[in-house]
Amino acid sequence: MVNLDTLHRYLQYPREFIRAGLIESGDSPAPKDYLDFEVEVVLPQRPVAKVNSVEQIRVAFRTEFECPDVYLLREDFPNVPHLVRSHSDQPKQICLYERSWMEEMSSWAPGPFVERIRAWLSGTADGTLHRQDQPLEPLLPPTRHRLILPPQEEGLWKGCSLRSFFIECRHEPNGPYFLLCYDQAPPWIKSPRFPVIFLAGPIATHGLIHRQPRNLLELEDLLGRLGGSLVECIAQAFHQKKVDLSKLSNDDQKLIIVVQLPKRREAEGEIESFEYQAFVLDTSPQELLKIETIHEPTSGGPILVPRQVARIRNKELLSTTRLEPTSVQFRLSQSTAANSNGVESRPMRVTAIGLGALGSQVVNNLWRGGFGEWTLIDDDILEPHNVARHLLCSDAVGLSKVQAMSQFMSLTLIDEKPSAALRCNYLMPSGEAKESLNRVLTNSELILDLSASVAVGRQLALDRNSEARRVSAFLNSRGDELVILTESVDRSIDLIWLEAEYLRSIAFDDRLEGHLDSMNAVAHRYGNACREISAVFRQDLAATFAGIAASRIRVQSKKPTASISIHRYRDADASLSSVVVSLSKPIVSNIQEWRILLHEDVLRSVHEYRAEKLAQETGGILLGVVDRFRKYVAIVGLLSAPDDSIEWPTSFIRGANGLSEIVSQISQKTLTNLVYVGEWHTHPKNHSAKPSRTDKEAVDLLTPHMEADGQPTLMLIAGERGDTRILVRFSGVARQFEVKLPSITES
Amino acid sequence: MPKITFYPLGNADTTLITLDQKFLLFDFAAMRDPADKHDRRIDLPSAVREDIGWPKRKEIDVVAFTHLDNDHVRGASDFFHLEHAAKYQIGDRVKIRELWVPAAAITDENSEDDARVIRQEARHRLRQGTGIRVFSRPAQLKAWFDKQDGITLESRRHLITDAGQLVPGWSKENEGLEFFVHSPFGERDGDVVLDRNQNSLVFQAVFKTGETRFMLSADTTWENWDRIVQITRLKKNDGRLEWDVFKLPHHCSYLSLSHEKGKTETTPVPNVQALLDKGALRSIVISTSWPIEDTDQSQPPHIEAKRCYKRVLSKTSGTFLTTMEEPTCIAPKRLVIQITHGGARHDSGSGIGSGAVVSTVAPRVG
Repeated sequence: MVNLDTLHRYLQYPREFIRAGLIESGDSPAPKDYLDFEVEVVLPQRPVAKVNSVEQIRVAFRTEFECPDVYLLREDFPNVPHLVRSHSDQPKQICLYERSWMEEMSSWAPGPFVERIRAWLSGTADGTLHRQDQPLEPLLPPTRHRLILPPQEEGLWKGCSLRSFFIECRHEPNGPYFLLCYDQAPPWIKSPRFPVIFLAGPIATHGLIHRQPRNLLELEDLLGRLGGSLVECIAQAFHQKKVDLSKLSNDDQKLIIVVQLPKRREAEGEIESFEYQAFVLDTSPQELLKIETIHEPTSGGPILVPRQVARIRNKELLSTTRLEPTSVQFRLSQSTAANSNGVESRPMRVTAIGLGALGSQVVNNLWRGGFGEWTLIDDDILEPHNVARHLLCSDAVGLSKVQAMSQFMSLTLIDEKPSAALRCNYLMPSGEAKESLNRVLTNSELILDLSASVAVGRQLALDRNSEARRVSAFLNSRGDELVILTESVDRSIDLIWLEAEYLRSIAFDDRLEGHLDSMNAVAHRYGNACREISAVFRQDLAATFAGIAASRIRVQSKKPTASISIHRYRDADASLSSVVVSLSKPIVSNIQEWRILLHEDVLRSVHEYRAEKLAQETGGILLGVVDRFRKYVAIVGLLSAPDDSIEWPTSFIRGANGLSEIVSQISQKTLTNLVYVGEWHTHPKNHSAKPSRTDKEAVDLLTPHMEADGQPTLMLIAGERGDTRILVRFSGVARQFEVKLPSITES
Repeated sequence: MPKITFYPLGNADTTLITLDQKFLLFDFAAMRDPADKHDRRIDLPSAVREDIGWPKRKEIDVVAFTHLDNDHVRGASDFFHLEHAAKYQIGDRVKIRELWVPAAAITDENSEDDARVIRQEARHRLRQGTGIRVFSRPAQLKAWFDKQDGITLESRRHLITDAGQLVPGWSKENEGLEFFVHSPFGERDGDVVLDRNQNSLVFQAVFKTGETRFMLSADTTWENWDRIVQITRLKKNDGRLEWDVFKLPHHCSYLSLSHEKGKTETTPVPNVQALLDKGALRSIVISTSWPIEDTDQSQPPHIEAKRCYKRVLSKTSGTFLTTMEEPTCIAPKRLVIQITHGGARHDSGSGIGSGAVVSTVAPRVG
């Protein structure tokens, strides 16, 4: 064997160089598959474990594809961490490598190998081999087989208790078996319940890894060495009738014993962790304890009675009762999944609306990370083309997305609060669904709009059924940029204002150049607004952005402030960048049924233009978002006077040179969402913003045009001492309304 | 785990103590001649930067100069960011949070080169009243303070630590390390207090980890050791003479043991012998020096002194190490003493393998 020969040659180098040397055995030079040698150990002054300055080592090679076994030949070598005793007649074995041998073998060489053994011994001698921040060593070596239990329950590990589970056995040919335990039988399991005894074991100090027991007597011996007893615990529990035998089925099913072993780092130390080990016995509890079925005299019903509990103390019986050691794992709950994600579990009530490509994957990411108790809302049925980018698979085609997602989630993580599914159209719920929808929204602590629908976002912002904060996440038409709008906790900045701020940024912020440019987009549009597009884009981008959206939602949900972030992917170098938009609170005026929201920068700008142009008047146009159905106008931008405007000391006539081109460009950039919404002008020195007669006449003249577009006519006027007013005339109403805005300090 | 790093610098001292989050450097002597490609001494500025985690970390918590001889300060003015003059603040320099010096570093008027620059820095910091600790009997600095305008000895007394005290701000409990000051010390001669060995620091550093004791000395002569042992015993502080690791004074000079070199082995004077006998089981002695030749030399290191130390160590299964000999004379590297729960430990790796090949010149080919 190459490694053996290499090691043999190395050990013949001068001892002063390699601090190791072969032990001369005097045996005949018959080929052996092991080597015995001595190593010099660097000891600290006062070793914490009894390691000698020279230790004898045996290295056995089985094949080159298997990790060499490294044994300590000294019988009284102390029981320390990272040691295994595989058989009582074999010397103690060192755990030398953390990585698998297939990883290690490519770099294996005799020098580092011997040095590693020396370092193992030195580290053991000075107590540094097992660091304080390292998890405790296992008490028993890993096994091939697995018992998969439901998530941990409190109160299960008190003495000895009997439970039963429906068990599904999965295994590949010649592979390990997985025993999956279910409290409720899934439809595909027809077998009866299996009895499982749960046993709280004695507290063990980590150190030596013990050999796996092969029969009940060896298990009893092992627990005895740790200070406990399997048979006494079982016997007493059955004697004292602490075990609920009704859990047993009438069939003779093999008994499984699961032992919990509390572990501590040092003797007398605190319990630091628990180890779980299962043993599948080759016998049933009925056979082991001679449990018989009798008919209860009073009720006449069958009951199970253990007739010969004392049998379990019989050593012969124990030694002939073979068992298969099986490692235990618990299925993940949301909280244990959160641990695996390295994040805090956030059990807040979350409602997700829209479970398409992005929505399904965002919910999946958050759910698996322990975030949220979920209610899912969507009206859609999964169709074949959805599967390209949806979390669900083809087997769910034809099922409602919410039902299939909910089922998927409950199969993914077992939790006390499985996700709820509400199949309905949020914008048009039917009578029965409407009530459920209102109830769900009222109870929500966070509402996620993942619908990629402008209408849903706007409706949700104005929905009075819930005080919960809303977050909206959607992609641009090319599918290469993600937008996340997060309301403030107090909802003073809501989705309506966030959408207006977002559109303002697209129009005026150079960092978002080309954000909604659909030149390269392959898409079919089902509406006019930026999100009313069903784009054709790649699953890898959907997955990437679903990851970012989930992370962002997790982080932002802890902060009280509102935010807008846009995350941009570029294929050329596979780079991701993000733009965070700065936000302001809107200045809100409620006039009749309408809500006028004004950006503070617009207010500031009209006064700056006024100051700049005094003693002349000046003016321009206002840009914003209009929702005729929901009756609001959000004014987020303005344009100054075109160069053909006439600016006199007492009047202003707004020109038109180049104006329609600019408005058209902005409209194009924002997919027609940011439009002309009104006029603005200034009043001369020493004049308030109070509308003049000509101002009112101008509003009347504009009204037919605005009526044609279904918009109110708006005129913003800036006057002396920061005075600002809005003059409004609504369609079909002769009267004009004047609103005084909060005054602004003149610069 | 804490560690102590000694650098191969020939007959020169630089010792770095590394704690979990703190670094303490004792002396800085960049001795390597960059023009000489055969110079096996370490490139100290690069090595120290690497060891403190430069560029993430740019400051050392404590920089102590045990005294201002060239083999303890060389290159310090090019390496450290010094606060007293802008010209020592240009470029990538390592900052000093607290500077430790003996009184002589303040009072000496004859310093030159790096020693003068460190003296100026120490004086500046003492005037400023921050980032400095001076080791001295306070009264010894009175004359210097008298010449300073408006700065009194009293106002700076908290920055001065006398022998027999623990260095403030360092405790086993909080920092994991304490320092007992052995020198400089004053000695009463009748009514007069004489200042002895005022120009050299000697500490017993005790790590919380494994209660490991490190005797850290500068160029201490046998006379000074004699007095240190006497005074420490007089004060019933015998424990302060115990050690697990001993950095030898003056590069293994016989003059730290006795006035006589001895024919083959130096015989220490009784009090120095008593100090050496305080070494614990498997203790480690480090000679910060050139390799020790097996012949009589006029300059340290002296083989006669080494034989004395080795004889003492043989009783405790101890180890004698020389900075320029570890791991080999051909390719010396940093000498690292690990401080473990079991005391001090020196890792002697195998001297064979490709690592050893690339750390030295290759065999002739052709």
